[in-house]
Parts: sequence; structure tokens; C-alpha cells
Amino acid sequence: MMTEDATITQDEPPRLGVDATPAFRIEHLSKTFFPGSRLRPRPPVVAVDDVSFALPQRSTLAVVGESGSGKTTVARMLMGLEVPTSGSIEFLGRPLSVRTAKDRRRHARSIQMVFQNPYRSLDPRQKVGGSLDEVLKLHTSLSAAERRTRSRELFELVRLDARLLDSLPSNLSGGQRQRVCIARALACEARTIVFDEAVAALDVLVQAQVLNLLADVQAETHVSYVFVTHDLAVVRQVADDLVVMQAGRIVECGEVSAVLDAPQHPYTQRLLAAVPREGWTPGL
Amino acid sequence: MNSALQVEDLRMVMPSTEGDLQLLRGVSFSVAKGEAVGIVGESGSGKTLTLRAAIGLIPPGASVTGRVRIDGESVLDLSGRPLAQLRRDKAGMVFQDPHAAINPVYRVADFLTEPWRKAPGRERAAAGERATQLLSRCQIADPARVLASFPHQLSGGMLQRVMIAAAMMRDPGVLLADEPTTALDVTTQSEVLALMNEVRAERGASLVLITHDIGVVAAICDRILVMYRGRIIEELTPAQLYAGQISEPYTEALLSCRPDVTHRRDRLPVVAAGAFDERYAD
Repeated sequence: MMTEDATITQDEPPRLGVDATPAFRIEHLSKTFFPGSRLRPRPPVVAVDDVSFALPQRSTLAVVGESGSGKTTVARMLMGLEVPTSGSIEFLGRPLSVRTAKDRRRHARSIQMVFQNPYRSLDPRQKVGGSLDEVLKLHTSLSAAERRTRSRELFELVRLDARLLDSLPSNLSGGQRQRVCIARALACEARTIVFDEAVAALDVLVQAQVLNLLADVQAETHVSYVFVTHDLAVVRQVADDLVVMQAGRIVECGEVSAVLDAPQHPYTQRLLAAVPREGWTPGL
Repeated sequence: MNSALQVEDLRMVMPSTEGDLQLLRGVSFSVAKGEAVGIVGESGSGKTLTLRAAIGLIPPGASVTGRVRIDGESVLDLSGRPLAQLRRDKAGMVFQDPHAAINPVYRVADFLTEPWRKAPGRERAAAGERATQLLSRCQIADPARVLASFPHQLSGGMLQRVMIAAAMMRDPGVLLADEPTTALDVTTQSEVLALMNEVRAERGASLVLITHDIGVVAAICDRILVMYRGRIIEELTPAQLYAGQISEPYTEALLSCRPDVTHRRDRLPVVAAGAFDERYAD
């Protein structure tokens, strides 16, 4: 869907799919961090180096790579949490700018993020219905009663019992909490949701439910997803396109089935070889 | 008597306002010298509680019955200094999140040689040498730099190697590892698993490995124990697992719900919460 050949040429951004306006498009994105203090600077770190790709609406993109490959930095730039050193990000055809709190709020309406640890992303002293209500209050003009109805709908969407709205996070299991986080990400009808290792820590039975659920929600609402992950089995199950990053650069990208069936880059081959399966022995 | 670890009818009860919670409901297994045993199960199945109870780490307020023997010593009857000595010399523990498990204010060298802190100078020097050796054994190219580092200066994979080295410092008979690779990416996971396997085989130590990835245990363990709601419900070998010789529906579900890296399925099988409650009730 994105490129015909599996290896990317950085000068030509990958081509887009069917939708005329992609959910987002990033071009020649780079990010350099300057660690250390002003008096004792340490060498600059190029976290993301000339990365270009686009995500068609209603599709799912996976970004894989080991820790330090820059995948989370890309996600944070998409969210407007980091400012790119160079390059451009476009959302639904409009350039991203998050200079003020108002910009930030508007941006949050088009893109939401679900984090890795469902135990840390909810306020332990706030009922989960309350954290949902807060998001609705911020992003919509619904009345209190309407917000309550909407909360119930959202819980239904993620297959949670509406009675759980009045529970504290500590009374929910990890899988239930992660579904609350997903409901919260869906609350303001974001067009894109970024999952940063958000399904890795779930038990397999819960993970299966959550992955099915996300597929259903996408079919119903046309939302697009970005999965930042290192789990290639999850990638195969949910994603349409795949971007493989190493040391801040895209080393391979294309349709998931094409890349995983015939990986071209040695790094992608190494990632695939490290997935435990029948007859596999770990190697150094 | 050739078992390195023996757990017999381990039960753990936690009193709560809604009545007593049966956390462990009679767990029994033994691990032979040099054997690798994997425990799988969902969160809350009691696998971590079992492993921690094996070295006498009991959650506050819980009451425990049953027997645990490591190298012939009855762990649950020990306390204070003898218990600390057992943990130090006979059972090495590797935790899931190395950054959370290693004291951040000490350098790696201090962490590794802590048991020798009060030993005479000669022995302390020997401990430093051993730490260097073990780190290079653990595929760390530059042990001197790592020894002088603080934990936050190292990556998760690197620090996990340090923790394995620390667990092996006293040449324990048993290595207990609780989700040692869950926080690592797949290539690092492969390296850390291979390393644990090698270091263990080389020294003839036994391994108990907890994970929720049934593929990982099948790759490096001789036997797999499946836990559900505080009990071992099935025991099988990796060969049996892959040959489909599974007798419990829960084990079946654990295997079938995993996404597969080789092909995409239209929908993953869904198992309702509590689907197994009746089958595995007391």
C-alpha cells in the first residue's frame, strides 16, 4: 500500500493508498537531542534521521525496531510532545503546529495515544468514569447527562460493563484498565490513535480480545492506528503497513505481508529470526 | 535426593474485607538438578507468588502452609540471617524490570560485590575479579566500563545481563527468573535467554522461568507447568505442546489465542473471562 518495493528511498516519500488525504504524512523528519548541560554539553544524539511515511485513513501502520531505534521519538513528535529538528508533519492535510495550549487541545482531538503501562496511565484516586468524563468535558460541549450516556456508549464499544464506570482503577484487572485507556482515547473521536507497546504487557487471552476489539472499532469508526511495538506477531495480526527502524532511520517498509514473508534488510531478518516458535533456540 | 528445588502443597491465604483470598491452592512440583522448568499462566494465577515464596519472600499479611526445600534446606522455616544466606548462596533471582530491581544509587561493581562488602580485602578483590569474569561471560564487551556505571547509564538489556551475572555470583544451585525478558525487545530477548541457558548449563544449575509467552518457555525449558487460579493444572514437555498433546482447555486457549507471526487470522479466538472457573473450581 505504501511502496512497491520493500526498500525505501528517502528522497521519495512512500506513495499513499486509496484515500486522497492521509490521516497524516511526515516528510524528512529528523530529531536531534542535545544532552548534558549548557556548560558541559555531551555529543548530540540523532534520534530520528530523515524519516518519511504516510498513514492512509482507516488503516493501521506498525513501527518496529529495538529500543533506541527512534520509534517512540517519532510517536512523540506525531503527538506534538517533541518538536522536530527538521522536516514536516501534516495532519489530514494541514501542517501540525502546537505552539499554544489551544493548539495542543485541538491536536489532541485528531490524535490520541495509549501508553504501555495501564497501571500508570490512570489516576489511582479517580473513578474510571471520571477520567473518561474529564476528556469529554475538555473536548466536547455535551451536558453532564449527555456525557454520562456517551461514557456508557464508549464502555460498550470496548466491551466493558457500564457498571464499572464507578470503579477505581485498583478494582480493575490490567486488561480492563487498558480497555479504559482505549475508551478514553476514543472519547474525543480522534482520527488516529498511537499505541506505544500498549498490548505487549497484556495476557494472551486479554490481548486477543483487545486486538479483535480494535479491528471492530476501526471498521465502525474509520479511525487509523499506529502501533509502536517490537512484537512481530501482533504486527502481522493488526497492521496493514510496516515501517522497520534502526538507529533513527527507516531501513525497510511496505505492506506487512510483503515485508514479513520476504524481509530484505538484514535487520528485519534478524528481528524475525528472534521470534520464538516451534524448533527455535535462542542465539547470541 | 537429587532435586534442587522441591515445593510441596504450597498454600497461601490473604485475609481481606471480602473474605479470605486463596492465592495458592496446593502447588507441588520439583526441579531436578540441572533441569529447566517453565511456569506459564495469566496474571493473578500465582506464578510469581510461587517463585517468590520459594525463597521465602511472602507478601505481608499472607499466611503460608506447605514445604519448600532448596538444596535440602526448608526455606519456610528459615528467617533472618540463615534465610539471607540461602538467598545469597543457593538461589539466584532475576526480576522482570532490572531498573526497578537494582539499587540506583550504587555502581554496578558495588551491586555485584555487595555480599563481600564486609569480607577481608583479599576476598573482596577476588569478588571484583569474579564480577569482571562473569560480565564478560554475559557478553558484555567492556566489563570495566559497566562495573563503573550507575544502573541508569545502562540499557535494559545490558542491565538484565548484569542482573544475571549478579544472580550467578555465588554459583547458586537454582536460578529463579521472573519474566526476565518481557521488558526487552526480541533480539535482546533472544540473547538474554541464550545467555541464561548457557551460564546455567555450564554450572549445572537448575532454572525456574516464569513468563506469559508460552513460546519462550517451550524454547528453553525441559518441562512446562501451567498455572491457573493458584494451582498447577497441567504439566507437559515442549514436544507434547507442539504435537498438540494437550489435555486442558485452558492450556489450549493459551496457545490458540496467540497471534501468529507467519499468518494473519481473520479474528483471534476469544475466551470469555471466567470460562474456566467451573472446571478448575475446588
